[in-house]
Amino acid sequence: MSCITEEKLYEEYHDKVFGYIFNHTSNKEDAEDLTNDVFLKAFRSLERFDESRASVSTWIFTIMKNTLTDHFRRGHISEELNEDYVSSDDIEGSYLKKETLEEIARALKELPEEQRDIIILRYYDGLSLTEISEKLRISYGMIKIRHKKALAALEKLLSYGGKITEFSGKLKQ
Amino acid sequence: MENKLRQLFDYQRFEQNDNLNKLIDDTHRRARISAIPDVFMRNISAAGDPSTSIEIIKKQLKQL
Repeated sequence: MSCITEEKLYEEYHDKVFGYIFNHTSNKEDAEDLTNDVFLKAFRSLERFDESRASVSTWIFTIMKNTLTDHFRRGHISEELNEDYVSSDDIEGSYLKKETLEEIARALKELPEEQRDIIILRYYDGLSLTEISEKLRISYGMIKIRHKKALAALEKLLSYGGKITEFSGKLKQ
Repeated sequence: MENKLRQLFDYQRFEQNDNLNKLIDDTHRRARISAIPDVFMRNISAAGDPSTSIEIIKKQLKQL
């Protein structure tokens, strides 16, 4: 059972949901409608949501992503709201939580700037290595090497800490 | 690893972690990428009055 109220959920996540959806649809009316759909689904599932099994943020994020996927699959035609509710079991990627973002930020800070930039341009901005090479005016070969080094360094950094990390799944003593 | 990074950065677009945003901004500045879409995203405000909208949603729920 969840302790979070509908009001608190709406207050905390409305802007994030709307902003994310608007970024993907570029249409204010669609974004408003879809945001409403997200919260309708969330309110309907709220009683059954188990906060001990998944974070609220990840749960809302999953509902939002599913809603967006349905929207694009339907070709933007509005239909009856899906009756399915999203339980804690439906959430993929248990590492998708606020704490992991902090871990990533800490790990990225440890990287040399040149490696960090490649990771951000590749995985946040979605650029190919060729595009990164052109943007940074560095040879493709060099970008490829730095990219590989950056991934290896991140893997190592995220494995340390004396706890199970969601990334590597290894338990460190 | 790569897929997880993509998902995490996608999640970052939603959560807007401040420390990560700072690193992203620094990268964009160095790479001279326009950050306008992201800055707009961070300052985007809810359409209409949230307290009014939540009442509308609750009404819709009752009707279903």
